[in-house]
Amino acid sequence: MDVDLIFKIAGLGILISIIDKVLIQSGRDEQAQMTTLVGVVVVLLVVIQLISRLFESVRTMFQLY
Amino acid sequence: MFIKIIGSMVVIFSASMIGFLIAGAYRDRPKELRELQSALLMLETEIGYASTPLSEALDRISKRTDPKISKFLKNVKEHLQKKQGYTAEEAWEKSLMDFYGESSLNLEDKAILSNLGKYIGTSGTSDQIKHIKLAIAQLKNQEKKAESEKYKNEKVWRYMGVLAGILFVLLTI
Repeated sequence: MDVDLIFKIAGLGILISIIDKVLIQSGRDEQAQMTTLVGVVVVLLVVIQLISRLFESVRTMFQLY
Repeated sequence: MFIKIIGSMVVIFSASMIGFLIAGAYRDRPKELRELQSALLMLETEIGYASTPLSEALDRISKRTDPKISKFLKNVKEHLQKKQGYTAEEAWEKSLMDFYGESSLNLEDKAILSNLGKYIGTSGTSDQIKHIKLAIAQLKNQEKKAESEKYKNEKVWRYMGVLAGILFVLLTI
């Protein structure tokens, strides 16, 4: 388990919330929504690898093939 | 590791600079439009009340306006005084091309100025004044638009450059 990944995801979250705030403040609600959505997708892409690894290890632990 | 840090710093720096440049264009445009209006007002006075020849009038105005516009007017004057057979319109158009590249005006502003150039130094005094007044009114309109665009975009671009740089670094690190 590498801790870097957690920091990376946390950083992404902070940045995207700031971008969202800036965009909403300047009256571009649609783009703000879009960036939030893109952020969610990007984080999901990162997380999905971890989840697949988790399933892999569960399968090997209980010998479910 | 060391190279990574330096590289990410370079990326963040350059992205923020791009953001600042775009924000700077939004900031400068209303100011330039205002300066242009005052320069045209001076030109109107020179033509209407003093009936100065065009090149002389341009020379006089260029001493009193802001540097970018002063350079533009001086360029027109030099084209006229070189006596290479340029009409006032051609001289105006040629200098306008250079000015447009350096300034942060957009195509509409340029079109207003080049429309004015067609009439400058050609017809009678009252007619020229009419066209200058028209151009000033149009520029005022553009200034209002530019002001609202500035309010909407300047801050966003300034933040967005920095944030996009950091985001890129975070994603690729």
